Amino acid sequence: MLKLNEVSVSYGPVLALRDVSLEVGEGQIVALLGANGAGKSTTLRVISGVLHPSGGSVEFQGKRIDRRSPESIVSLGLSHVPEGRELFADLTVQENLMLGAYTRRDSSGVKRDLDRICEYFPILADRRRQHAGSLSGGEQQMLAIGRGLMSRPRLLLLDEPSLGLAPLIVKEIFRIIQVINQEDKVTVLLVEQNASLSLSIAQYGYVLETGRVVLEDSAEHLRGNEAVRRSYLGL
Amino acid sequence: MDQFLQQVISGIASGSLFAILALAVVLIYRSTNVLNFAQGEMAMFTTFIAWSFMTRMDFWPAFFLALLVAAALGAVLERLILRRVEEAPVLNAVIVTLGLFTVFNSLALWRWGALPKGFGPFSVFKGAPLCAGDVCIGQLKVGILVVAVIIMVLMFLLFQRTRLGLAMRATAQNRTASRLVGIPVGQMLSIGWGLSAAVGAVAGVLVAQDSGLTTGTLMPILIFAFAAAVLGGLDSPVGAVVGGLTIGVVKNLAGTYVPSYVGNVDLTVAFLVIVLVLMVRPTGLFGQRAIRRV
Repeated sequence: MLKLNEVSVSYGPVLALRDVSLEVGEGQIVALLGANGAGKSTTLRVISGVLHPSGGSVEFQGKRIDRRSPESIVSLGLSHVPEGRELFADLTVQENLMLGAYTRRDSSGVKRDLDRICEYFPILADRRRQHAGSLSGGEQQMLAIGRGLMSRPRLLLLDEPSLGLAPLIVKEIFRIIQVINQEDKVTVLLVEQNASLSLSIAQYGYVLETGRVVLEDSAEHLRGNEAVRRSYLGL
Repeated sequence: MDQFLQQVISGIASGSLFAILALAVVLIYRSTNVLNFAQGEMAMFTTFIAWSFMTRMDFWPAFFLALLVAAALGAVLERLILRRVEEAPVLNAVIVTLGLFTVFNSLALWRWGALPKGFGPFSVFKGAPLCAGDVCIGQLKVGILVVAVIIMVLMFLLFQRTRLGLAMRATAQNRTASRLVGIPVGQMLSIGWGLSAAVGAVAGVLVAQDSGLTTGTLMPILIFAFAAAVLGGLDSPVGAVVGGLTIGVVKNLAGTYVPSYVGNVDLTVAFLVIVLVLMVRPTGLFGQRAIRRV
């Protein structure tokens, strides 16, 4: 479904990604692991079109998308829930969700999806008229994911959904991610600091180190891998 | 008592002019997060264009043609100039608008000269003032107030009730997130500038009907319009109008009742009121208080 071929990205003279190749199959949850600054968020930004690669190509459902604008990539069915959530803080929860559906024209479908997201995250329904900025961290993350789903994506990019949240909330959010994956058939590329958690729901994983893929394997094997256990699982 | 009432009424009338230009300021601020210091000079410039159309055709076609030209000018300015500083801190954009201020002033002076242009012959609000007892108000002033309220309502509907308005507000708040949800951010910014320039042109034409047109006509109005927008809360159309009318009335009453040996105090008193209001309500009368938890 998604394929990166030897993608390189540079910020000025600094090479942030070097020949990164990875593949996400339809229906999968794929984890992208790595330390701070390894290039995980950069990879997601390249995929969603916020950054353009200096080399290599990105293909989504067989189409090259690495020269497209973020707007046009969203309408192809790819949604990016960015690091730090990037909500519209002074707009209401409802408005944030409706903006997630900006590229869609089917108002009855939008209405159905809105209801569905409120089933996943009932707290959002309770807080519909509140400003997004007044929500707690966990609620904001739920809203960010909900907004990302409102475009009805086939592929969802999630950047650090557990960042700064209490363990119980993280557990709930990861449960919902699995539901979205299994029931709504949304493919997920998951960037996470919390490697053990993300490998517990992913089928496959890639490990990035200073801008390169140093290891890839099934999640099961990665969990058993000595280097991964030491570096990322803290075992 | 009659004098007091008359001064309040005249204050509302001149306040309506502040209100319309304040609406243009709010429109750009709400849609791009930039304070446009060139707003008054752009309005002045497009009013000159309206004037030159009016010497060739009837008022209404000339007026609407001028609005179109203004909107196009605003959109083009955003696309060609403001877009270049879009990624930079907002302050850079504000400085650019200061530059535009001087550019439009010089251009107008160069093209149309320093002599006042009378709008009297083109006025659509002729006729006797409306009076109740000894208190009177000119038809032009009533017209200006009505126009201000109409623009306010249209802006409110645009921002609160339409998809376009929601996308414009989103763009002003968070460009990255706007791109990620698929909003064409550049278009939104151009539309914001275009609409704002058109509203500014409406203000310009109305001011010119009231007091003629020179390159300096809109400068003092802009100062009060900025004050009105800040008083109202910068992001609220209703606030801009209430702020404009308040400042108009306060300014007029201060000019009437503060003895003249104190000097020209209407400006001072008007700003004193703003300072007091902002001390109590930092977001302005109608501004949305941003509550954030992280």
